Amino acid sequence: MTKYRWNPYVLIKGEKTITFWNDHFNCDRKSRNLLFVLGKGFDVRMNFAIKQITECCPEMQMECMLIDFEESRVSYSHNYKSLVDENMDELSKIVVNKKQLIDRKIVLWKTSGRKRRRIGDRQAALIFKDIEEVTKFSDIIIDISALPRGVYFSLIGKVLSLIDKIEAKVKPNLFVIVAENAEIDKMIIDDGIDNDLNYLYGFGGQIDLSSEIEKPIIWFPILGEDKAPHLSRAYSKITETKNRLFEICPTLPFPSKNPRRSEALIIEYHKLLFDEFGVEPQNIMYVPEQNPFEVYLRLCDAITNYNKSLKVINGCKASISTFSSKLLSIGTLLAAFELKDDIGVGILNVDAEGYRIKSVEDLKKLNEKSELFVTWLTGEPY
Amino acid sequence: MSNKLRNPFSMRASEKIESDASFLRLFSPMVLDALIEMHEKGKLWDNIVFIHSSPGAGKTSLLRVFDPGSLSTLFNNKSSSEYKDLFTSLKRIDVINNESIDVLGVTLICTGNYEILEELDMSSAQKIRLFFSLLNIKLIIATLRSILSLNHARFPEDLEKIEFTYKNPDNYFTSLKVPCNGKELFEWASSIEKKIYSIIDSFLPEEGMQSEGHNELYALSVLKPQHITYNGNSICKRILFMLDDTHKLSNSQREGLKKYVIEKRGNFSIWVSERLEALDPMENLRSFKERDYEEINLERFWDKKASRFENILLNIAEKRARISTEDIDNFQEYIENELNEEKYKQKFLSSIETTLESIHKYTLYSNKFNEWVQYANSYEGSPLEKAHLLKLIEILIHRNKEKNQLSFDFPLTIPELTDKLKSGLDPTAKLFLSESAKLPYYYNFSTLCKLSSNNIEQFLTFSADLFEEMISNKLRGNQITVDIEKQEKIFSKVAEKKWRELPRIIPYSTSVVKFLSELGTFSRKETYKPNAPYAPGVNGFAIKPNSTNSLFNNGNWLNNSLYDPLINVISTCVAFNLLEVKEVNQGEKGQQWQVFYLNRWLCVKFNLPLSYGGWRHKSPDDLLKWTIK
Repeated sequence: MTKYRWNPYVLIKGEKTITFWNDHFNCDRKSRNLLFVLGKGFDVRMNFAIKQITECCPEMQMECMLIDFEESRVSYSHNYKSLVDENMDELSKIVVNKKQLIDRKIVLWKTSGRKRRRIGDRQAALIFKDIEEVTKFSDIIIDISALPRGVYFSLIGKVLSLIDKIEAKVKPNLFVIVAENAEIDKMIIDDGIDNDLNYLYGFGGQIDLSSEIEKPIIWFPILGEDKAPHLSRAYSKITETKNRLFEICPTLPFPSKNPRRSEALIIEYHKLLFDEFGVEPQNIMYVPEQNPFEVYLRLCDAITNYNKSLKVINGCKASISTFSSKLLSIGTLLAAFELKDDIGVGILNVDAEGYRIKSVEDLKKLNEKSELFVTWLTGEPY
Repeated sequence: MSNKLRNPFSMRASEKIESDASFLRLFSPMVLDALIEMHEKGKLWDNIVFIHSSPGAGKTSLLRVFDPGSLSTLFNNKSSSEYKDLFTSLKRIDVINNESIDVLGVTLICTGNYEILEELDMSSAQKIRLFFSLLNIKLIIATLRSILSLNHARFPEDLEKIEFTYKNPDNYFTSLKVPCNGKELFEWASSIEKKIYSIIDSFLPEEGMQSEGHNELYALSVLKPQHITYNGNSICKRILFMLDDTHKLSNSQREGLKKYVIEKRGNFSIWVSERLEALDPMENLRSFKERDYEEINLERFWDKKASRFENILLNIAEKRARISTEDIDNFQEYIENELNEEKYKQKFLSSIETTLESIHKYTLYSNKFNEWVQYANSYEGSPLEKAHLLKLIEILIHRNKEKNQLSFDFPLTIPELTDKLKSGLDPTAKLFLSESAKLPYYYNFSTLCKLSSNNIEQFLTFSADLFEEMISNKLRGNQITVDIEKQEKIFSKVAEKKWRELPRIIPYSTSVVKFLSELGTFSRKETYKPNAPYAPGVNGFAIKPNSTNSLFNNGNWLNNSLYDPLINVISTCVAFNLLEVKEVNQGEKGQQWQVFYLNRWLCVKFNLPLSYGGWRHKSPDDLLKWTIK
């Protein structure tokens, strides 16, 4: 039961989150001060969680940190400025006191001459510089609903690292939350995916060490719909070192709301996985679609077992890529965070320059069906 | 993994997963001709050579030939007819001979953490020191691994058999006592490498996490055959350092590396392989002849050897087919080669009718072409030949009519016609006939090879779908052969899929897609003009600045930030192999132009011919307009 850090775990979802916020923040209101971190973006789910919390606990002491990430000049997302403005209008009505709102700007790209490189992950990790910045809050909520993966992985990793450094017994409660809506995810399409990939900052897992290339890479792509180009790019990165052994374990969401989703994904990627990548069918793994902690546990088990089995050749390294929902990505983050130093687990993310929305109107309508998931990572229960 | 695959054409990254033996069997020694030429001029060894190409054009394969594994395989099979040519070519450049392997190839891929060093909180000078330090360490580790590989030794057990006898006269090694053995050198290098990786990847600064840096790439100077032995024997005559994918370095790292190796050239042999995108966009647009180093551009190399390249593709295709689990052991044989004239007879006959009607309408008030029309009418060839001839005559009539010169309207004679028919318009007539009669145009193995644009990955993409069709035909109990109509459908479908994917996979996608659409439309318009002025058709452009009547003086457009969007778009297109660059002599005193041709799959997308040679001058202003939404 205690083999891994987040076992047992605390996961609250759907309507239960309202009761939870009430119980957690209203019972000893005075002793709690909350930092709510969210991203500034066009995603209609941006204010879903903060709205719910402030409605439940209107008297709560709260600071709201808005991460304003500057995309590349040519990002297609700039076409949705009106959606961003609408979200900001709504936020200004939720967080009325301007002093409560901290604006943190980060840039996702750095340009040098005519060459660009992604630096969003490193910039995100710089948002919290030292322990004092986390210890001054009793609770920290990081809402990843409107944050890109290239930002929130390193942000959460840094906050977790800072909290782990605290020597005192009482540590801040850290919640990572997301408004989940698979239909909305399907409507937002990546535009201009990255060509040259690298492991996310803090999640390198020392995979590229040239002194350890005899260790095979076990790659766990968590599959979601319409991500063939992403898979191809990530595959090129995994196989870039000649003669380095690798194993691919495609990870499918099951159980899932649509019980045939896994089969549909296998049909979609059949050619890519079995003809192009030469995946062995017995390597396929299943993780529950709506429980990031179970994803974490299964990934940890699989990686640990691989490492044990391959001990005779000095073990292995593991790489995890999420091409699925942000909810599942929390599980991958936790697995990588826990094993990154012991075994060497990296997060290989395929980000995009911008995003296109299939239908803005439908997007707004669909938001009513979004469901909030709360993962509690540090503090009182642990 | 089983050695047999259902559709082996779909298999990716073959160069990485194939055995050395099968890799060498597929490798064409012809690409080594460029190296032989350099060797004859004394420029190959103790020098720096840059190898440039677009993704998938074979840089990594070229370097792989010099890997110890490949050279050992070749050395052990030197009498085999399969490897004879390759062995002879490598012998000519002093890499191998009947008695020994003389070159130790050390490959270093420049991906991973190098570029990230730029983000560390330290001065530029410190960053470059750390970069050189990491390169030194990785070169040392790679060299040790190569020595073991060349000697068929075990890693890490046999590291102790390596002796590093360098006496440290320049004090490069401060924390390692040298001379030492390979194991000590490896452990020292790997501990530094781990330390640097921790600095790069740690969320929190940790105490004692400082790593020594170096102002020099000393590894290139100390890793010399005279300083290293294995089991007491010399390891080789020469060490060849091969840095792959240096385009993934930051600008300052790449510049620092380039400056260092160019300054110190003569002391070591180093090959730097990078994609065209690595070059500053300005460099992609400038002639390669202006550069101050030795360069091999793989695409340009194959341009001159098209038929040989077709043979290589055929070889690859047949070998892939043979490892299919579906018992389709041939590829070219199952690709229909010619139009079935009986099947399309009706289409030829209607084309004859419509072309005659069109000619009649066009020459209604003139008897100038009467003899030509009579000649066509009385022509006794097959319907295909007659339809083709009429298309030729139609083009010639349009050409004649559109001449501005004053001429008498005397009837043109049949000898004049037969003379003009020799003017090389056949491919254009074929294209026009296919377009108007809706006949397949893109088919057969030769077309498939042209479609690859000298890029093996591209060839495999089209071939994979053809092979899939062969498998389906076999499953259905039909003939395996893919007929020409189906071939064209497959080519168009693959091109369409690639086109749809473009916005998702390239930077500046909106502008690039807009630019290519405009170029495609323009090329179509120029190609299908009735008088075919640029036969066999237009599918490229060269940039010619306007000297007058321009809103801006665009003679110096490359240095004008106004044209940045255009430079970004063209550079992206070249880097992602959407435009092919070729040097063409044309105009006064054989003036040289860089012509940007559409990649051949884009020609399929826009229904353009696959030949080279048809291009138009465009001004930077005109091209810039094509990039704007």
